[in-house]
Amino acid sequence: MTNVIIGLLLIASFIFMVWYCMKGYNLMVGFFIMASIWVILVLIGNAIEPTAVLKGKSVIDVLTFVYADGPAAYAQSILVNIFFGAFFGRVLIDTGIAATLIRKVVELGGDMPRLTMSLLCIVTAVIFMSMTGIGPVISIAVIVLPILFSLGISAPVALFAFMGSIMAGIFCNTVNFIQYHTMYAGFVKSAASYSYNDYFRIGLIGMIVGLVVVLTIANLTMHSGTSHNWAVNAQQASGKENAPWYSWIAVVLPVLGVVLLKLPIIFGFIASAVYAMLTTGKLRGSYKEVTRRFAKLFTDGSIDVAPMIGFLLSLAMFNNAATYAAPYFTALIENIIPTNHLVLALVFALLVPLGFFRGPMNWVGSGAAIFAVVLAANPGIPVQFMYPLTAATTIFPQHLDVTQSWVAWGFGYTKVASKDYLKRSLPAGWICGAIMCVIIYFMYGNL
Amino acid sequence: MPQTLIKPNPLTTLFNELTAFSKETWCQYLFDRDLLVNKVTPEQRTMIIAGASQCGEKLAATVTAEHGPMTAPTLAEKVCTVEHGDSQNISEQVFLATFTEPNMIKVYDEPMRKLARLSLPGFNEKMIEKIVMDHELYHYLEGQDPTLFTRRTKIGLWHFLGYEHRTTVRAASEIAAMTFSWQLNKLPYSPLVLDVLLLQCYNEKAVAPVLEELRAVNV
Repeated sequence: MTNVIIGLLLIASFIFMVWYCMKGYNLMVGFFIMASIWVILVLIGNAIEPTAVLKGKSVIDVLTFVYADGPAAYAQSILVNIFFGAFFGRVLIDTGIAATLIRKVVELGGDMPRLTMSLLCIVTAVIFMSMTGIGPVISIAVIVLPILFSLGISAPVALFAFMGSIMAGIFCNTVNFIQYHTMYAGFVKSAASYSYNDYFRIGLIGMIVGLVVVLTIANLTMHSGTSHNWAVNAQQASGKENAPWYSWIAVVLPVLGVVLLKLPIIFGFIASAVYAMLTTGKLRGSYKEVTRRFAKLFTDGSIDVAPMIGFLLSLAMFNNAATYAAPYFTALIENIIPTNHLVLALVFALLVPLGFFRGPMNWVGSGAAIFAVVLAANPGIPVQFMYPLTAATTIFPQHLDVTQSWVAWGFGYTKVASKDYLKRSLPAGWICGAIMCVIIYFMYGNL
Repeated sequence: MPQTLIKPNPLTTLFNELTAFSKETWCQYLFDRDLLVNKVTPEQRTMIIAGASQCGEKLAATVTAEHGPMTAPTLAEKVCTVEHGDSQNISEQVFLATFTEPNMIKVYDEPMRKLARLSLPGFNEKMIEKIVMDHELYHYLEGQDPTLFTRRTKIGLWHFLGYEHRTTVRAASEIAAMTFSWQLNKLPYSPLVLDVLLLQCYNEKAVAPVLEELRAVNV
């Protein structure tokens, strides 16, 4: 009975978190509060009716595991990747490679809004297979969004198409893979050997599915006729210098390095950054100047991801607290957790919307506790099947969500009302996630 | 008796400078803002500017001849659905009006009120609205007539095997709309002075670079 009551209180805290997210309060502090509430509830529950996960552990052990080991483990495996990913993003921006690619794509499509929007979304998705962080997103957004507006595409459609194409790219993003996979492997040690190479095929399929769904919805919801705006732009006329064509490959070099040459991702980011800078003339100058440039790019990249780091560290505390909370969820939902692969895939497809608002189907939300229970109920489940399912319910909703930092920034930039955005993003996230759950079942459901 | 120095009003100085720019200058200004500016050869650019300008003027003459003293805004309201919004400002962009095919014109009142508050000679809210509506009317008429220069003039962007990807140039349509409104209203200056004056209202710092750009292309 105690376990059921504690379980219900934990669910009540989930609902509080959804409300908290929707109000737009700070997520770093929010997840710290959630971790603390869960630790308190777990300790109270354990004092009344001891659980197996806390056997032999003192209060200090629990506090150490949640508030110290959580962020520390996170730092080892993820922070370095995120820092170097952000550094690489800064390199692509500063060398002008990203901007050049976008300009070239516009020149390919011409004055045909649907075609040019589609091409821009594809190149944005490709760029975000390697790039990460709010800084690079904003740097690309301030180029892409005004182009879409000037083609007569309405702001809600433009914002949705742009954010959707980032979401598609993130599904195949190396940094995001490592981030979520580390959490997964925290619950299933044997999953540690599952690599980005193993994931790449399904990641690429997810990216294509994401792009197709986003472009379909964007095309269906945009005006059918041509639009003209009489708008005044405070930005200077275009005509900036283009990066040379042979530098453009730098955008996908980190991914190619990992997939084709099995390079470690950090080395991939560094080598690709050096190539990008070499081919765009950014390595010219004295040793002192060049090293200063490198240091600045790394610093700028670190600043880009600083808010995310704070949030991820508090999320790591929450994830570890979720480990102790698992028995209480087990008491509530153990009997209803499916173990059949087809049923699991269908249930995940149905519950994709719970990945929005940092909900219980989202790794970077309150999903860690639920996934812990699901994984505990399915001890031998193949990681090739289960990890992509959790990625689908996390990545698609999360990167279209109003709680995503760059989506929130986009609202301020474009003055789009959240309801105009949500009526496209909610179905898009759900459809993408559901399609991928079905595809994952057909690809890996029989393992 | 002490001498009184009368400082010229900076806004009047700006307005006087803007009204002195030639039509060619404003055409170049519009073209430089086109997304495909780098894909157009200098010969094509000259041809498009001349053709679009002529197209706008010719259509203005046709409209005047066909509809007589009826003002273009009245005509626009007759053939289009006209909506008024307060404002739509996206980042560094301020919208005066939008036209969406087949016949939807949306005019934003706040920027027009702000422009009228500048109290420049002959620049009241009614006049500003007339300039804007005439500009949008061109886009409506353009949508009705595929034989217009701005609809049929295309440039080649790329070839693949036997296929050539050709596209219209948006600047052509904007140049024609500008000259159409200019001609209909018999203005002594380009309707595009509104662009710079709007910047003055919303983002004063952005005026100087645009002015520099106009001075540089002034011919």
